Amino acid sequence: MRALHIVAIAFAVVMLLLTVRNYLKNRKLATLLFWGVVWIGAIIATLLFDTLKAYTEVINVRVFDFIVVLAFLLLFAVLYRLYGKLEQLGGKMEEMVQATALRDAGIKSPARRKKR
Amino acid sequence: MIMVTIAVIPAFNEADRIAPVIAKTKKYVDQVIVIDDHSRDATAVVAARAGALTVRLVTNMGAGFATRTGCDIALARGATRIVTIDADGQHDPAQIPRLISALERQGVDIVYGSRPQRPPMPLIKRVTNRWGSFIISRMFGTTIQDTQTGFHVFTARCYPKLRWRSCRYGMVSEFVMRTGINRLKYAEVEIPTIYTDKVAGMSLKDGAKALLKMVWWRMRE
Repeated sequence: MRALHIVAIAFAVVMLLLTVRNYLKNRKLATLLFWGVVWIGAIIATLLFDTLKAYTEVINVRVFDFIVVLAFLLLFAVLYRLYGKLEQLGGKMEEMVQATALRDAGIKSPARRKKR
Repeated sequence: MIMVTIAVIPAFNEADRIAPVIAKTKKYVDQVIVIDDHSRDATAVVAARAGALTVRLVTNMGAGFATRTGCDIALARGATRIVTIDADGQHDPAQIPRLISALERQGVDIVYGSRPQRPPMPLIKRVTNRWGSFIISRMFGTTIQDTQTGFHVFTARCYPKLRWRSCRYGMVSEFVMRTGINRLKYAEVEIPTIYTDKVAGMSLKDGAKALLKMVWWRMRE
C-alpha cells in the first residue's frame, strides 16, 4: 500500500469519526447516512484500489482518474445544494428582519392580521 | 380623497447629517419614516429626536431593503404618496413640492428627481451614470436620464408593481426596470446636485453588479 493510500484512508477515517460525533450531537440521521456512505465508500475504494482497476479498464479509464472525477461530481452537487440552502436562508433572514421592523413600527404582519 | 404624503429615508451611519434632512423634509410631507440600517453610530437616536418615526433594523440589510421596509410601513400607515430621499443631504427636500406638483399635473405614477449630468457631479459618476442610464433605458424602454437617483415620488397605488427585490444599491436600477416593464407612467424633474466629500452612494463595484443584474432581469422578463 502506498503512502498516498494511507493518507487517504486516515483522512476518511477522521472524517467518519467527525460525522459520527456530529450525529451524536445533532441526531440528524440523513446527514450521518449520506456522509457515512461517502467516507466508507472512500475507504473501500482506497483499500480495493487494485481490484477496481479491472473494472475501470473496461471503460479505458485509470482508477485514480475515475475516483477524482467522482469526487468532483460529488463536490459540485454538494456546492449546488449549499448554494440553494444559502439562498433560502437569505430569504428567511429578510422575512425575519422585515417582520421585526414592521412590529417595531406597530404594524401587524399580514400573517398575524389573517389569524383574526 | 385625502392625500397623505410620507417620506421614507433609509439611513446608515448618518448621525451627523440626518437631523437637518429630517427637519427640512418634515415641512413638505405629513410624516417622515427613517429606517436605520443597523448603523454603528447614533443615527436612530438622532432621527427619533428630530421627529421621525424611526425603525432600526436588527442587522444591516442594505439600502434597497431599508427603503422597501420603509415603503411597506408607509403604505400600512395610509400613505397615498411616498417620497424616497437620501439621508446624506444629497437631495434637497425643498424640491419635494416640485416633484409632487409634477406627479399631480402630469397624472403620472412616478416622478424621478434627476440630477443634471454635469459638475459638481464628480466626473466618474457622470460617466458611469450616463452609460448606465443609456444601457438601462435601451433594455427596458424608458428614457430616464438619471436612473441612479434615489429621489422619487410615487403613488401608493403603483407601489405593488414597483416593489423591488434588491436589498442593496441595485434597487434604483430595479426601480427603473419595473417602471419600464410594468409600463408605469413617469416624469423627470431636474433637481440640483449636492455633492460633498462624504456623500455616500454606489461604488463602481456596486454599479457593475447592478448592470449584470439588469442583463439578467432583461433575459428573465
